[in-house]
Amino acid sequence: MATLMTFARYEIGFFLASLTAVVAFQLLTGRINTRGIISEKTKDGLGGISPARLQLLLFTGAFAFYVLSQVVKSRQFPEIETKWLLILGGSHSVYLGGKGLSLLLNQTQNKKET
Amino acid sequence: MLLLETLPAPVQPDPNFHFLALVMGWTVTVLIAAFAIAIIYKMIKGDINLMYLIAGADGDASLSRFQFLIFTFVIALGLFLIILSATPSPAFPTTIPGGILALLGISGGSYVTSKAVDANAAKPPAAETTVVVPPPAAPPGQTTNVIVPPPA
Repeated sequence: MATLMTFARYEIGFFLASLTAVVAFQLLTGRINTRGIISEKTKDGLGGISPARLQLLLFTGAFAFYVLSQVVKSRQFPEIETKWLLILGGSHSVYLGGKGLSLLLNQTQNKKET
Repeated sequence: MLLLETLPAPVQPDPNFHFLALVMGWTVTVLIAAFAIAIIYKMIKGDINLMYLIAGADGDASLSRFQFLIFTFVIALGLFLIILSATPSPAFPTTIPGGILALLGISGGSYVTSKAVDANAAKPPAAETTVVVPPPAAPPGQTTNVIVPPPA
């Protein structure tokens, strides 16, 4: 039974690590499309860099790094304080608000043109 | 004293069941390993195309999908580490903090909302409706001659 447990442990570890490695490699080499991930999306195509998208990307990276580092350090999920969750929620709200506003502006412009 | 004497003897586990559990365990584990290797191999080879893994409906990358992917990986890897670290044998954590669940909720909620906004944007605007009235049919008894000119 001990051999089976060790095998299963290595198997799941190998699968998760490989999956992460393949996705990360393809993201970095451009095989996964990352075009326009932080660009403003207008009706004419991609615009300049969007601050709302950029801040969400930075918050996402920071939170992901924090959670993973805490898990590696203490071998348990960290308690995340409410204020940090509010900050993350705010960051997402800014991104979604910007996206909604952009959609609204595009639709208003389309109506004016027609 | 009488009660103690009438208690049934502890049941000895059947060695056949242990063998059966071992065989089933190995079968399931090897099967999962085969699936895992096949999936990873197909991803590397390109049979499973990940080109549009984080792309939106317009083909460009979507930040909401990307952050959902990142948090999913982080929680999955974290859970795996925690399960492995349990002593004396691997075990699920007894509790998952509310903060982690909220984190996943915010991430998933943002993804769904973004998808709803995209779906609304892709919807064509309501066009003006044109009613076409067909010409009145010829009265019975009348015929219509169609003259086709000869080709030039």
